[in-house]
Amino acid sequence: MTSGQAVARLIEALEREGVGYMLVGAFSSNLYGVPRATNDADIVVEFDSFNLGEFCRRLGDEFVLDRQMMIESFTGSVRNVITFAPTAFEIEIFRLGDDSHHRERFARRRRMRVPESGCDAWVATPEDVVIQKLRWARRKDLDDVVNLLLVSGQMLDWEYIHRWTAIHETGGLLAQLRREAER
Amino acid sequence: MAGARLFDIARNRMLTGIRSRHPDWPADEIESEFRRQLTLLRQHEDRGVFTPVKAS
Repeated sequence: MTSGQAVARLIEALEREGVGYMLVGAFSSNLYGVPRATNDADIVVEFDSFNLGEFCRRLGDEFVLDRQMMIESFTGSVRNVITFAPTAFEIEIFRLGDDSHHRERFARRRRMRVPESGCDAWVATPEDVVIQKLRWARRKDLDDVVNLLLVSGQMLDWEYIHRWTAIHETGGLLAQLRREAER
Repeated sequence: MAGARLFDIARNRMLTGIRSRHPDWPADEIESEFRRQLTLLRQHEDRGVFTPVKAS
């Protein structure tokens, strides 16, 4: 099984068990921008009645859950990591928390066909990919934003993006990256 | 799934690179070195972004 097939199996299991989720991070930006390699898949999950340990066990022995939870500095999101042991590919599971943007991002998620997997999945919108990556603002996140703006910039809901970048105080960074994309 | 497919390609390239630098190493040692390098990359990505939740 490849790393992509491992992610597809996990998505199928979430669908089968009726768990609310969406793909975020590079898996979402790759759909709207320019695909790049990523060391992990990021998935936001509603944890209301979700037992991650049991879920991981049902996926099979190749999926190994690290029970050490990590907290993300900017939004307070809590993360667990599932490693697909044969390739060491990581699937990061984020709990849907109380962050206002994360709540709205989850409500706006859209159903999309994920290339190469043959399955439909819930994915963050391109606007929300931009908003979130501006908050993290690591070098690779900013590269993803520029690529997304280049490829999909004309189709974005800019009013929505500007509302959240004003709240997050990332509007200056966005303007800088837009200039870079338009150069 | 492009990101995961490209990860598998990069993984194979890294394994090939380690194997060519250490032709006398057994497969498990090469795999172990790959995972050590991958861990370093991930720690670099997570630095300043993620911190462990302490058990209460």
